[in-house]
Amino acid sequence: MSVATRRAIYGKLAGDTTLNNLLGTPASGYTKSIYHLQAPSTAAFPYVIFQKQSGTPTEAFGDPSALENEVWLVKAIDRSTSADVAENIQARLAVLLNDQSLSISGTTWQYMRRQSDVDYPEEIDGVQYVHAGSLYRLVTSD
Amino acid sequence: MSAIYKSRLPQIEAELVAKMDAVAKAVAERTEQAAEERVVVATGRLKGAIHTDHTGEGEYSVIAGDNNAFYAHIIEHGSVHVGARPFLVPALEQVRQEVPAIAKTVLRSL
Repeated sequence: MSVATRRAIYGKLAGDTTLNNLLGTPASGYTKSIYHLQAPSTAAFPYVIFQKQSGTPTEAFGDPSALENEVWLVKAIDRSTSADVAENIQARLAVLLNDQSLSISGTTWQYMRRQSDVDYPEEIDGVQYVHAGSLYRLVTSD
Repeated sequence: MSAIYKSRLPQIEAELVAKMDAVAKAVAERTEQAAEERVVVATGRLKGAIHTDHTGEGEYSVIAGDNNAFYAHIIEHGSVHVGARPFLVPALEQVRQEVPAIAKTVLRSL
């Protein structure tokens, strides 16, 4: 289930020129600066990370997994002391994902909705990074 | 033969707020427990810092972190160098499904 879903999300993001123009040069072996789970160490900033945070089946009409209820984290990471660029990407991600349809192989999309934002700075060895994105609730049915 | 029916509504009304607070507390404590079961453990500091705060009538917050474990958001949502290992959102999603059963248990005594 997750494979088809993440391919659908990736496809949605990778196909948007506006978003990709906001991102850094893709790492070697990648065509877009959009990575699942973890970016390669050579990835240029800023980039997008996405991953499933949670997945729970929901019973309906006697079917214990009639609905799949998932929470996906989709965020930008930039190496900067300013959140401006990361927040611009965060905003574009919301345009692309919030209440927008997804074509997921093998299942029926019901809705995908922004639930809450995820914003925080990170400092590693004196270098500041900015994370900005959102948690999206994705509901699909059999 | 006659029967007298006495309304329990005033008693239920009087107890309802406290009972709903008890439901919220039970849900929060269950979420805290589920988060503790899911969090990755290296030193145990973060696991030990997951706690529940009473923030108002019928309101509880499950908090991961304190002055000694400030990195819960990095574990939950990821670092530049390490991917996210979520524990709080999955705990909440798990317990969300248990809320009706928890509420039923607490409210049965009304």
